[in-house]
Amino acid sequence: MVASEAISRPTAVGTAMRRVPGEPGIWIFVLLDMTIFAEMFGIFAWYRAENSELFRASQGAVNPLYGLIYTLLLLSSSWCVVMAVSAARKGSTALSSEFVLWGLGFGAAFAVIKFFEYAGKFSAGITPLTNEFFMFYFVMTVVHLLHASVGLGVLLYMRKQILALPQRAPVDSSRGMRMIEVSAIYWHMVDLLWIVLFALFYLKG
Amino acid sequence: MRELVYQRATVIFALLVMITGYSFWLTAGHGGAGLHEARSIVWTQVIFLAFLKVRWVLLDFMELRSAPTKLRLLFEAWVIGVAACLILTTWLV
Repeated sequence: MVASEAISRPTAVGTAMRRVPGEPGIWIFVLLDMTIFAEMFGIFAWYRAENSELFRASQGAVNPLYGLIYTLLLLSSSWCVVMAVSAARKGSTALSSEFVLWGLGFGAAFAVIKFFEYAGKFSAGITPLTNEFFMFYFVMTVVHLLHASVGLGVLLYMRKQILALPQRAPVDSSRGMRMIEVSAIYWHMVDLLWIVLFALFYLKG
Repeated sequence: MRELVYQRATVIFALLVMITGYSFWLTAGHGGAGLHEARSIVWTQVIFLAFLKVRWVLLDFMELRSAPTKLRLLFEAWVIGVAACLILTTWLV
């Protein structure tokens, strides 16, 4: 059986039907993307274990407060997107759209502050060539920032889909609703990957 | 609005924020010193808490809790596998 068929077929659990959120394709994409990040996490951890003093000393130049702010922004953004999906399902399209805009705002704040942080690093003479820690730091956080930037576009698309839903009529399985779910899943993946990056680079373990 | 906000995902959001704050306090306030073993214990806690948060995002924000079991298990395996690798490197390498 093809994997996508296996995960798209609803299965009965008790009386409740389990279903794949969004579309099966988004889960294949999410799994592949998370696997690529998992490899990067693993390689980072290996280098960190082998060069623990260098990594600890370098981490001293990373302000953990930035990491805390980013994490709170992305968690808040993700929660707003969850609320937006719930509101859309209930047919409250105006409220749903408002929540997505808040999610977009928090996400945009994340990206803007990230640029300030990078600027601070460069002005202090810290670049990806400084040492192995900063090579990982820049490569992994920039790749994540690219995901987040795409995610901002995805949230705009999500809002467009929400505004196209029928007003005040609960919707659950229409194509528009599934696209809204797909957009939300992508944005939550951005949040999820950041949670790990926060632990690796900003928390001094 | 109240009906919308009063749901499991909001409780999870509150827990995610609290764990984030705790992890920050754990390392910003007390990290950076001590023996290798002590630092490895902090790292283990930080990674464990991070992947607990990741699991909640997967289950409650991405709605895998109500997804087909095979799909859910696939991602649960990712969480356990990656967390285990990250924790083991600090103890074994």
